[in-house]
Amino acid sequence: MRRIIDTIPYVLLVAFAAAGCEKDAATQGPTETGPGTLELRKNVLVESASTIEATYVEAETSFVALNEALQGDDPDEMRAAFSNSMDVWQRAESMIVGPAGMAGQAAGGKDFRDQIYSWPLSNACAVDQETVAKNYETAELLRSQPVNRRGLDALEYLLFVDNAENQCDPNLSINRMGDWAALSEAEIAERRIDYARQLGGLLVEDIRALRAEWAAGEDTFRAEFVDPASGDTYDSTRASLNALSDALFYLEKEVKDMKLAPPAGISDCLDEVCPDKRESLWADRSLANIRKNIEGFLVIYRGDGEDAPGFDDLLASVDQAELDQSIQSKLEEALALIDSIDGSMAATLASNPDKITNLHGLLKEFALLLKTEFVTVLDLDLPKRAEGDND
Amino acid sequence: MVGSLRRHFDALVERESRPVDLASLAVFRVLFGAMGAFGAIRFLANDWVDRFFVQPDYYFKFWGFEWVRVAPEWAMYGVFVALAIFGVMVSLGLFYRVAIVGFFVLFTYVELLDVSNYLNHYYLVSLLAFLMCFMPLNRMWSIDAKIWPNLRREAVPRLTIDILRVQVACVYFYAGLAKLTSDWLIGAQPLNIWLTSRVDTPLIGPMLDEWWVALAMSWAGFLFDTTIVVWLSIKKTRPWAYAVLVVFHLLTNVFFAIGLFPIIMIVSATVFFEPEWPRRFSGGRRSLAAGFRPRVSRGVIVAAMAFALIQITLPLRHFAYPTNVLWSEEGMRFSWKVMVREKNGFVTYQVHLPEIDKTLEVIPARYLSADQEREFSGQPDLILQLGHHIGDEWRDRGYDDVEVRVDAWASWNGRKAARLIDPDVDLMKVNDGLLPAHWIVPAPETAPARLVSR
Repeated sequence: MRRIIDTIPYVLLVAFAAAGCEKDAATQGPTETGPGTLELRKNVLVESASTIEATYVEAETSFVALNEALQGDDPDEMRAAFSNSMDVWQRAESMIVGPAGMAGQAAGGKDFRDQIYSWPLSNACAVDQETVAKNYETAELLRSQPVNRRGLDALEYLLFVDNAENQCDPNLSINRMGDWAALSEAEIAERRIDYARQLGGLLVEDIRALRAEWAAGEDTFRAEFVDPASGDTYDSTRASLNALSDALFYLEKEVKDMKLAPPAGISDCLDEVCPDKRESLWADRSLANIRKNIEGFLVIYRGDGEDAPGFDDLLASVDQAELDQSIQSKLEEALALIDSIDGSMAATLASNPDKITNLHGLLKEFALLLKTEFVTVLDLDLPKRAEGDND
Repeated sequence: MVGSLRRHFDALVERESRPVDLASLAVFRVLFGAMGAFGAIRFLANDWVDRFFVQPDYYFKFWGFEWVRVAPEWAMYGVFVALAIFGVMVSLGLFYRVAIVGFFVLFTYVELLDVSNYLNHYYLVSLLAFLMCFMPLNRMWSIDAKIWPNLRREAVPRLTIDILRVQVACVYFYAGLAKLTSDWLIGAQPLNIWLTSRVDTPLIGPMLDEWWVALAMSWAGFLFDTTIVVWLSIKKTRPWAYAVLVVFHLLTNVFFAIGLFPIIMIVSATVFFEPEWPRRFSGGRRSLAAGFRPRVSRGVIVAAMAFALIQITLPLRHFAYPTNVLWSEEGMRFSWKVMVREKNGFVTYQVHLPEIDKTLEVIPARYLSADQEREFSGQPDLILQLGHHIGDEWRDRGYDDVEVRVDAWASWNGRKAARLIDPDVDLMKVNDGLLPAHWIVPAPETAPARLVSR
């Protein structure tokens, strides 16, 4: 008898170890009072997946139109099509989940985002070097080049640069060896448009592949995202939700800290302002981009539709509606401030830099809520690459 | 008075010199070494060496251990390979003394590299390894004992097992004492927050967003931690107490990413078993402890008492500070406050350069990895440390009068975010130390969040 009693702990050890290894195959239904917490969390994932797919479908349509415009001869039409595409993509920037994320860093990451838009790695000089080297002549060769020689940021430079100069240091080979100087203005213009046409085709390929990952079906990334038990990418609904929440931090890291603080002279700038550090140097659509980033955040955060489930509902479900209101009001204020600005970021930095500083301030107040109360009450982790230990 | 103390001390020396069976500690050695090896291999397999000791540009220093530096990448990988080898050697009892000293030194070195990696269970491993350096745990069921028969002995002085019991008892008791707060016992926080997000846990998931479940589990955790040592110490309750302990730790493993902590505690708790317990599973051979008459010197007893005294008093030091330890973190480390707070912070430095009348914002992410930023943002002494580093960098650039202030906020157990550090204090003018930190803002007095599932 004594021996049996002494053995109990070891039997329990094995049994619970086995239970601990079990994948979360169990699913739960709603509670008696309405959608349970788990069901609501799953609904948010399903809704977000639909929103992300719809955004990519919209991006595909605009990229196809852009590619068609690029095959024509009208620069204004090309630029207008570019702006339409960028409007959609900037919304998608706040939705970088799974395949859009960086391989090896984001769960399910396949680098699609950087293929489509590599900012802040954008490098106009690299595009000029490519213009000289003519690696754009075949799609295969162009695809083998670094990401900052492709995508929407390279295209922005090619379409909006208004002179035949290059952006490289005089010591770089295209200047030192006279390669650039050997090209006539007409030849530079012709090469730039040929380069842009090739980029248009790659963008369509990339967005189609990315959209396919989010299409409904059993073997797509979307299936694993909404039902983590069906794959190995996420080990729980919480992990999927965390991946979505990580995407929302784009407004903090990329928008507040990179798109606003340096040009406004708040960080990384010893002058009063540093307009050369704004995101969109060539199309000068930095503020429009930020507006779309916020819109992208809100459509995920609120859900796409009045009753669509989103993080706002998750907060309300744990009696944190006040926090939800604070988050939304900061972003509504930011949108209103952007709309009140008449002109580009560059012009505003010259005439009324306080507006950009105030916009940064609003996003800082928003980020404070996101990084503290929001992640705490929903028990989400701040963006990081992988799970570690705790105690 | 002196005579009475001497008598008590002599009795203690006599008691702690009595022989006890080495069998339980031999098993403990086997399991501890295996755990150590597994932990090191796990670090290598998950590529955590790169993530924690290669990639970061900045490392937070422990007060008094600022001289400890990260080794080059190849050497850091070597350290973890060596830890795995030493762990296996400890487990097998092969060149045990060399192996356990090597394990202790390297493990402690790794833990001292970056404060933001501090975990209570890593600290426990260091302490246990330290104690094991002085214990002849290779005299039984070891390769050493096979190679050198003269080494064989199946008993050790009672002190050997008692000091380990004191150590493990401190962990449980102080982990329980740390839960004696209104947040834990009345507000059910932070368990309410953590459990609400674990609703997809098999079987019990649907209940976890109920506040009363968090409250019940909070009380269960408090009662478990504060009393488990008592139940383990009583022969009749021991098997059941251990079963509960195993269930408790495995449940925490299901809910939380706490790495090897559950298994470390499940192994460590075996020190409360009868010293001869493994013999029931090895044919029931009689212990040879009876024929052994060890001598423990008074000096060893004094050293053991000093160690125990440090372990008993160190976790209480937070009472010397006026602020709430879970908010200010003064006295937080090395005191077994395990999983008792959920804190997320938001930190931005303001660097003022009077020479050019310019104030710049500096974000911590510029210096820290995501893991480091997550840990540091709720710990004022680390915020101060990075503030000094940033200020020193600007001084090196020729700005001698640099001032560094910080916008530091934190949400603690779901409360509204509150300022953690006085934003008017120039961090370059304050230093970390043992005295109370006047620059830390007192803890918010509001109740923690209560997540009520609707």
